[in-house]
Amino acid sequence: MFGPELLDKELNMEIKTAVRQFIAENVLLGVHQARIEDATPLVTGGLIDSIGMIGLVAFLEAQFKVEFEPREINVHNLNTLEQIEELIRKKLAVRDAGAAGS
Amino acid sequence: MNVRIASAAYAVPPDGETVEAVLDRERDRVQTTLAPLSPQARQKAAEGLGLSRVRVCGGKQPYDLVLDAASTAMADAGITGKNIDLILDYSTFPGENSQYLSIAHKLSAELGAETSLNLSFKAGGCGALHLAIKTAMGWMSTDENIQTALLVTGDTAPAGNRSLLPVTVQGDAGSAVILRRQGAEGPLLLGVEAMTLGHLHNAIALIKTNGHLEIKVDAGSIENDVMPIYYLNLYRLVQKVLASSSLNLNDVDHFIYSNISQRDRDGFRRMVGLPEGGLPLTPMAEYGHTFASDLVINYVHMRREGRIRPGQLLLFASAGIGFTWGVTLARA
Repeated sequence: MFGPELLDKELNMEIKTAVRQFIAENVLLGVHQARIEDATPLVTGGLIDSIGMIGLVAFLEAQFKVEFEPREINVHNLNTLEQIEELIRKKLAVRDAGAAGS
Repeated sequence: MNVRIASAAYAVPPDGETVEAVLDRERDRVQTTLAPLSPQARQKAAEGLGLSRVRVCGGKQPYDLVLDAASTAMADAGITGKNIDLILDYSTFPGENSQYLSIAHKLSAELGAETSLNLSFKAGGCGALHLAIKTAMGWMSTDENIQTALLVTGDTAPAGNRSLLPVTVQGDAGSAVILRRQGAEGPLLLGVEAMTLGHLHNAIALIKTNGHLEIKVDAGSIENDVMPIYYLNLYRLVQKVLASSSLNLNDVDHFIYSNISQRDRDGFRRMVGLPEGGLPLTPMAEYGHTFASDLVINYVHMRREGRIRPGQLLLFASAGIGFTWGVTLARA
């Protein structure tokens, strides 16, 4: 049985893997996933432009069943896989807490 | 409620200046503005503008341009001042030396719109046309006496502040749009959507230095806060306004988008899935970016060229300072 810590790690991996694969296949049009490190700057590094952001946000919202407020979408939250993972985790936690309370 | 764009017109001052001359004269300001950016981003800032010249207010000030445009639009719509029930002025930069309390009020007096309700608001830059349309429709929907609305904007850059790099270079213009309820002529408004994000108000701001207005562009905020959501927000509004009429992108015959820069127009073109060259040519090279008059200028040119035919679907879209995004859908 997995403890909470392991579950957290698995979730992190799942988020990063899914996002990495999406970016490689859809935004970078086939650039090998291995080139996208956890800390690779996606926006400030020029890998994702403003148009690519439309697809990325749509993917994140559909994949993880979350919704982004316009204010949440900026380079401080979505510039790296690490930041994306952190933001998704926070939103999932809020969503789950809301579901538990309802 | 049935509201149509009865007519639209614009006016530009006769005097002009090359964009090259503007950027040369404002070199120090441009360098200071772009300093926070990476060398690569600094280099890109002035590339792909697609703007050669701008028109510059001299003898004619923004109010004069608005008066010219409003008079033309009224003549085209076949109305007089007495027919106008609402005047909305949405100028963002009506002129540092403008002595008028409100362009709308002065216009009301000069056009003979004796009973019009007059309102000026200052927000939105290029996106303000949608705010004005939405506001006019709101008034119309709650007051049956408001049948005809005149929407105007007249803008000029403060002295020494024509460069808005890394975004654009501003030219001066005035424009007017007449909306008529239960009218028979002109495109029928199907929907208008707008959004503003106040936390980005300082991305492009007006400040006063030594008694003079200056436009301060926060290039870092433009790059990091605005651009990641710039097309995303536009796209969401486009989808929203289309969905509310059970339409989709493929149904749109003409996209009428602003003249901020060629690279911005390319971005919008990619956003809506048009091929290269898919957006119509506009007079942007000659006029520069004229804030909210851009959409009116482009619409009027398309009409003059006979490109808009009855039944075609028009989608107007723009985003501007504030920060403000807006989309309007109409059936010709």
